Order: sequence, then C-alpha cells, then structure tokens
Amino acid sequence: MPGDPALSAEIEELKKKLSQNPDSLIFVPLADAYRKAGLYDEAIEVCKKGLEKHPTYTSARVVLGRVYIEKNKFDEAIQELKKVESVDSDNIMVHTMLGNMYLKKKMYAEAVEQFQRVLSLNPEDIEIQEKLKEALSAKQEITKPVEKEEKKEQINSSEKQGKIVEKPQIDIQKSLKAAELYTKKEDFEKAIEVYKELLDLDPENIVVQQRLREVYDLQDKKLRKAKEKPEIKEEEKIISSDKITTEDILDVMKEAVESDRVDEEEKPRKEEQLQAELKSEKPQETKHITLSKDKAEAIEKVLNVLKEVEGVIGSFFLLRDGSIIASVLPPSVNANEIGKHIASIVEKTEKSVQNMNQGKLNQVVISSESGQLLFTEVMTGVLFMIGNEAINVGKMRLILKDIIDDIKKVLS
Amino acid sequence: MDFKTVLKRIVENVDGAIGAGVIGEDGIAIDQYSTKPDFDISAAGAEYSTIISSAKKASQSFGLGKTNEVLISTEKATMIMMVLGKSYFVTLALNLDGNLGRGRLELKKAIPELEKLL
Repeated sequence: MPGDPALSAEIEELKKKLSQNPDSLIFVPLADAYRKAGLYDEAIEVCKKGLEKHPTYTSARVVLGRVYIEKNKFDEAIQELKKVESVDSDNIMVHTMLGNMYLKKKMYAEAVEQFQRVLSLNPEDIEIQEKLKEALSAKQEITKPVEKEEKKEQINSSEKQGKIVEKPQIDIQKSLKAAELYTKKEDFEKAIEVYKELLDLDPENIVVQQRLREVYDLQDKKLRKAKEKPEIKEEEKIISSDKITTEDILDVMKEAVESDRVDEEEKPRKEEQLQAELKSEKPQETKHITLSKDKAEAIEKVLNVLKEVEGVIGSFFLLRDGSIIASVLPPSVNANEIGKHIASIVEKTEKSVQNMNQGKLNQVVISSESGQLLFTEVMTGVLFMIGNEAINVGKMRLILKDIIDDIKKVLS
Repeated sequence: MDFKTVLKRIVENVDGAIGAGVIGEDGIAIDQYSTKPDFDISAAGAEYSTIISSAKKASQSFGLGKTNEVLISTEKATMIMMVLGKSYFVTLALNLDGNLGRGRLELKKAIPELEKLL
C-alpha cells in the first residue's frame, strides 16, 4: 500500500465501490489511484479486467497508456493511445502524450504529426509550439544528410550534362488549391499530406492549421459513417480512390496559373460564376428539408425579431441532418457550411447527456472569449443563437423562452 | 487545502447542488465531492470531457475564441463546467431548482484556488 494515507483510503473506498458494483466504470478511477500510488501492476490488471467488460471506454485506455508511460513501456502505451485516437481524434491529451513519446523514441515525423494536431485544436499552446519546433528541427537534421546526398548526385549528373540546376520551390497557393480539391473529392489522406508539407514550411500558419483541423474532422466523420455502414462505405472507398486523376491535378495547376493572371476586372465576373454554381448546387444540399417554404419563412421572421435584441449577433434553426431551415446570420458566417458540423456537435452532446442518465437535453450555453452560443431543442429541430461577449447568460435564456414558443407555434 | 475541500465548499455553499468535480480533458476525474451516492462524476468523466470538447469545436466554428464556460440543462439536472488552466475543467451539478447564479459565482471564486492546486 502507498505511504500516502489519503491515497490508501481512496483506493480502499474505490475497491469497495467496485466490489459492490463490478460492472460499473469505477475501475478507471481505481486504476488511476493505483497508478498515482506507483502500484503499476495492480493498475494494469484493473484496467485490463475493466476493458474486457467496457472495451469502448476510452478513459480506461488513457489510464492504461499513462501507466505504461510511467513504466517506460512506450510501445504498449502507443498501442493503447492509438486506439483512443482512432475514436476520439480531438483528445488533446492523447495527442500530447503520443507526441512526447514519439519525441523520446526519436520518431520525429510522427511527433510532428501529433503536435500539429494539438495545435490545430489549440493554436495558442506555447509549450506544444516549442515541442513542434524541436521535433521539426530534429526531423530536418535527419533528412538533411540524405537530401544533401541526393542534391549532390543531382548536381553532379546535371553538371555532367551541362544543365543549369534550379532550386525547387513550393507554390503555397497551388498547394492550397490542390489540398482543397483533395478535400472536395474526399481524398483526405492526400489533403492532410499537402497541409502538413505547408506546415513544415510555416508551422504557425493559422489558416493551414485551421484547414488541417477541418480535414481531420471530415475524415473522422467519414470513418464514423464507415463504421455504421461498412458495406456501403467499401463501395464509396473504391469510388473515392478513383476520384483524383492526373487530369484533376493538371486542372488544379492550370487553374492556379490562370488565377495568377486574372486581373482585378475579371474577379467580379468569376465571383458571379461561383455564386451561380453554388446556387445550382443548393437543391442537393437542402433535399432533406421536410418543412414547407411558408413555415421556413415564418421561422425566419421569428429569428428576425431575435436579431433586434441587443447583443444578439445571429441565429438559425436547423434539422437533425444539418439542413438549415432558416437563418439570420452576419455575412461572415456561411450557414450551409456549418450546418452539418453543428448538427454533429449537438448529437454528441445529447448522447453524452443520455449516457450520464440525465434525461433529455434541454439547453446548452457556451461562453467564450468573444461571444456566447446557445442551442436548444425545439420539437424536430435545434435553435442556435450567437451573442456577443456583452450579452448576459440569464437574459439570453429569458429571450429564448418567447422565441421557442413562437417557433413551436409555427411548427405545430 | 486540497481539491476535495474546495469542491465540498462549493457544493455546500450552493442551494440545490448535487456534486462537483475536477476532470481532465482526457475524461479522468482528479477529485470529486457528491452529496448523492449514486451521482458519480468520476464514472462519467469521459462524457463531461466530450461535452467540453464539442463546446470548444462549436466556439471555434464561429471564431469566438477560447471557451470559458459551458452550461447544460437537462430533464433532471443543470450542469456548469468551467475551464481550468490548459487541460482541465471543474464541473458543478445542480437539481432543477438549484441556485444557478450562486453556482456560477462559487465556481468562479474557486477557480484561482483550483488552478493553484493543479
């Protein structure tokens, strides 16, 4: 038993709880208490037994990973934490732990990948920024001698042939367009590869970090869908692997070269074209909408009333599949782009509340540095409201009461 | 001063409070205090952490910056979560008739103390 009496008492209490309810999730805090006490073998045993009953409980794998780390068994730790990563790609702690281990194992490319994922979720993490720099420079040190040799060989052969050697350059705009195309065609691996190359050049590029995060999100969604419908996904996989062709890449390159030449006068025409294309795509995006046009307009009227309230930036009403029924938003927010993303956030939150046996989710208020978000269920849909930093949480909830009633009237 | 003492004080100072806990973003509870034996924050750590992670994503989608607080009301309870340092948060659960304003105030007051303990 550990020297710390408080920790000993905690272990005893948790053991008692676990023996009273062997199927509960209390094995995780017990294993973690054993870890804190340095009783690693006991911690591993408790985790493994618990995971036999609850194989999808990621917290248990995190504790198990930690125990292995403290025992310097990095391979086993990586194995466990990778399992967590595959189902919870936004777990900052897991990416940090994996990054640190890869750094210790001198697997710099893998460490860079993990630290980049942490920064895509939390760009302001100074400690991770430093670690990323460390991993990047170590990675470059390793690749330098190889590159030097390769360059030497290239120069030698070029000199022999009397050719002038040109320094290879990466065109950031073209790379970004290529990554966008890969994303559009759901070839996420390639898109991630391109964004990572760009981050190698400029690790602090916020735009690239943000886009990388978005691609990881899309990739996760695709994987989750694949798990739900494996047989359908296999077919999609085959199709998507055929999606990118040499012509596509050449098109992107041509497009990039052409766009370089477009002068200011041509820009508005191109934007018009783009708008027209987007409009023509709209019916596809909204095909799941089941509400009539009249009802959608009536809801929009209600949202317009909400907009007049001081501190309210915007609002929208969406269905479970992410279709936006009505929206009153500032021009900087593209409702169609965020609809599905927001619907998945709502779904995750609801599921967690259910798992906690807290019944149906009524309302969520998120307070952030520059504003507040509020979402609430209204019959078949979800009402989402965005407020600025000055808006009062209590006031926000009060306003919502009337608005919810008005939307209910429209829907019923 | 330890976590449990601070958490106990929060729960005792708020009418209708059921329990409070400090949880890591990996879903593992550091410590908790509960007035109901069946209300176990430790066991639901992963769910709280999923909610915080979803809230952060939503905030990022609208460019609202760092998430400080999440308030959830359900059929059975109200939960307040406040971010602690870089990768932890403190949560307080209340009955439906609990004093929400007082709960938020007590949590805000306790944050510097809890951050010192981390």
